[in-house]
Amino acid sequence: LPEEFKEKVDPVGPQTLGPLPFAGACDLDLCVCQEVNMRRRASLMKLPGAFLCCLALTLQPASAEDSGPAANFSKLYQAAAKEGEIIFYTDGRQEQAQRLSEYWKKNFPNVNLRLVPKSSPVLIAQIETERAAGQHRVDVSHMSQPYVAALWKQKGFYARYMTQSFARLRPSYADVDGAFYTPDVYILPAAYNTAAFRDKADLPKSLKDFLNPRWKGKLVLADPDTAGNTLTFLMAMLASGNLDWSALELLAKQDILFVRGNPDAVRMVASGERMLAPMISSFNVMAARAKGQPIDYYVLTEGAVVVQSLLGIMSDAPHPNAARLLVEVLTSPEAESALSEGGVFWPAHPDAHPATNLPRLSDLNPIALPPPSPSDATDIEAFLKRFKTVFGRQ
Amino acid sequence: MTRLQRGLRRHATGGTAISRWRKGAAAVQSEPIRLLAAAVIVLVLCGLVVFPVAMLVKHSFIDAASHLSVQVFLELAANKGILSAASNSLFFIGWVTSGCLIVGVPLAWLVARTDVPAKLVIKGGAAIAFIIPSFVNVIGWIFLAAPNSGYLNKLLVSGLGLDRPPFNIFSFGGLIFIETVHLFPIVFFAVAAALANIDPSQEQAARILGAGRWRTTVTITLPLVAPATISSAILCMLDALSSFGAPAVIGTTANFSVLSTAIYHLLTYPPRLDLAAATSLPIVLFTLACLRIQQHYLRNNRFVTLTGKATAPQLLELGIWRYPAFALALATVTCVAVLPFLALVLLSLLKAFGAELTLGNLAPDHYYAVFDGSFIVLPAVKNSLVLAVEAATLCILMGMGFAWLVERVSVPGSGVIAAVIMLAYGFPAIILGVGVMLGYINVLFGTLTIILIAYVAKHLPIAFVFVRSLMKQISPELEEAARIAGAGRLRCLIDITYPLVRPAAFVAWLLIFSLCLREQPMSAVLTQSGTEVMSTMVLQFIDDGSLEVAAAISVLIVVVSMTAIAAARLLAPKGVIEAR
Repeated sequence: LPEEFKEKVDPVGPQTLGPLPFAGACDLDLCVCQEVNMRRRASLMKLPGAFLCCLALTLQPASAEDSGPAANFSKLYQAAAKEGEIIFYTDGRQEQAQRLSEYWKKNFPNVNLRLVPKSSPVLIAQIETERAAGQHRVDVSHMSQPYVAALWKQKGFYARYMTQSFARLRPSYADVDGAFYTPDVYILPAAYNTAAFRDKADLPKSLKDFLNPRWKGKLVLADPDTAGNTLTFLMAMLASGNLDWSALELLAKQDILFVRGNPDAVRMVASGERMLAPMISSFNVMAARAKGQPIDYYVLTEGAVVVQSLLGIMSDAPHPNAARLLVEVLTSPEAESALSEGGVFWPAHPDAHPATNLPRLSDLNPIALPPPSPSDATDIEAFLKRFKTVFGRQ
Repeated sequence: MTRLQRGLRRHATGGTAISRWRKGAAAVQSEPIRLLAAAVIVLVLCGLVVFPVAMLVKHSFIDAASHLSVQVFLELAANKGILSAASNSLFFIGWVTSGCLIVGVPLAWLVARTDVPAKLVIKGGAAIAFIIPSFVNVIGWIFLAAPNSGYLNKLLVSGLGLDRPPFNIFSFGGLIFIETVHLFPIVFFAVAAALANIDPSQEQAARILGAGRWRTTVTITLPLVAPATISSAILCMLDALSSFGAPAVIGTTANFSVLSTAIYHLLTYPPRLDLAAATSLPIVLFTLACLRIQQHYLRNNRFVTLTGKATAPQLLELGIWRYPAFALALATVTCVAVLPFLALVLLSLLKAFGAELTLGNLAPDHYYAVFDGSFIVLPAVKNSLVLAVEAATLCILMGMGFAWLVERVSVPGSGVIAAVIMLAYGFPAIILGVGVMLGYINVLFGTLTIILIAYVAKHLPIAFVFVRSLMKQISPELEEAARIAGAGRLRCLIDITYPLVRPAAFVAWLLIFSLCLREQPMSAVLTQSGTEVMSTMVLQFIDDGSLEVAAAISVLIVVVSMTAIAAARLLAPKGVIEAR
């Protein structure tokens, strides 16, 4: 979409109008096309100056060559094709990486996508080590530690870039300077062993219910010292007033089994080692449930904390155009819709369509987190210190 | 000690370090081949160990403003968490090493020196225990011995009507148990190799002089294999010190940390490369201290048991103890290998983790996923095999060469060479991986070669220790005879020394091959797209919650390793394996 045209569209405002669909929208499902076209028509009524131009674009018959994501970003794709490849470090799940790889090969065959899947801790350590050695090997990184993203932005690790979806994603899902974006989100609900709880009415309803001595020796929690999601959850709950330190002191008496990460917590619940978890990342529970493991999640009365994955172009990326192309694609509603189907994450773009297998995020009483800040590191340090004292952790 | 005594002692041990260095340097000048060999050693060791470690040292002395500083060491000294982890590590390695010796030495003696039946089963069991990746081994044991959900616990509670589950794997004791059953094969194989090389005439002499079987074993046989016992115990200590998989999983649940997990923690949220590097430096001191103790002990004793006088190996007949001994060995093998491997197989066949263990819930679906082209497992299998074969072969070639030069040729600074070789083994693997990455990121990052460098640096000590221990048992008179007969040093090495150390080298090759096949912490840091290995795939599946697929790949790792060992048995020259 031409930049000058986009500028004319943007003033309509993100709440009432999404960015106009790209030519590739014709490739989408018919219903999606209809909905998108209706929204477009409504917006054009408010923009007479753009109407003719847009109509002309819409009425052009899309050929096979100029349709699809490649056509949407044709200039960027051409520039990226000259670079030949893109190196993408991601902490995404295997199926997610697999789905992206197939999507990319189908739509951008001239740019080789080198996916390097690593867990967040290893990914962060690797990028830090590379930078310490003065090497810039990675084009785009994708991980789920908000305050690390804030620190990286401060240290100049990210290149700032405004995607076509930037305005639409602001303020929740795009950094104010375009340093990082959120392509998808997940929640932090409670989880239980379905074999141990035949009746869901028996489950604790709120965080305070977990303090009941009835649940002593039955809870598992990923250690916030090693599991970023638990840290995020507890700090969010403390900040929102849903939890306080006196409640945490009582929780410490519940003989909680601490494990290293959320996948471990899922295993402990699914195996019956412990029957309940006040918090586990939703995607781990969903993946286990899909495999037939006896585990499910539910939302407490306090609500479910929404966690964002963070995607950013690294500064001095070896393939800058390819990096921009990837971030453009991953923040576009088309790709987010296509990649979320059958998956366990909710797409972040408001115009993208969540997978049919997922409940609507708005139905889950979501709790949004404030944008990450470098000062979070100090708060985290203070929190972990106190948490270790309260829970007697080494 | 009088001056004369000191002089005699110095003479017996080759003089002071300076005089030994001078003698060695003079010898080097007089023989170009020694000079060349010394230069090659220095170059290779610099590339493999010194350079990566130097990169870490550099980072530990550079502050955030890129200035030289010792601030990070002051921070380290004030960090109670790291000090506590260091203290836990000492207890941990003490218990694990003791456990490895208690299990490994008697089992090795049974296999190498007695007529206990089914030796192949015992050796196979030890090999399996060693091959199973530690982070998967932990999951296997959780599957078996978790207090509430462990199948073994459930079985015993229901079968014996117990009030409470007998095992709790989520404890310090549980961690020691897991690590011991994982590492004792190092002691077992090293001591078994050494025992098989003992000259039986020494035992016969003891028997003729009236010593009983047990007394001969305790006072003659076992002391003669002290080099192998001490060396392998040190390997166990260093391996336990750098161990990460089991301490990470069990340590969190049992609420304690060790140095390797503390260092890993420092590399995350937000990474403190300087502090992590500084934390690993005391480990270098510990490694050097271990080697110094070993040197001190071995230098003052003679362990030559393999001389030019040919004698047939003689096995101790156990008599009525034969089958009780076998039952004990079998129970050990069941505990260390059969149970965890069975748990892995069951897990890999279980439709979903947590499902009831019934026949209807077992299916080979996860194996299909392993061989499904879309999961890139097969390229990872190929990479693992290529790296394991290359690393094991390079380690053996270098290990034999270095051991020969240190033991047989007066290369100046041989003590330093041995220390540098051993240095990498005590380093927590993840920080060594970071060091290798820092060192070679400019030229080799994203290639299999950088992973190969890390594998060789980490595992070279095993080859070196195995070959060197055996070389200590071989009398120099064999090589001297060849030299007198006109053979050059190289001919001597090829025709005399190599055939004698070949059994130990072969066992070391298999151990290194297996270790490389399951190596995880360094691989996690160094693998990139296209250079994935099996262990990183296993970890990825574990992180994704696909424990069943991870178990299937682990079974594959064990099967590939065992097949390689079986193939080696078939292909190896007769006697090389059988003697072990």
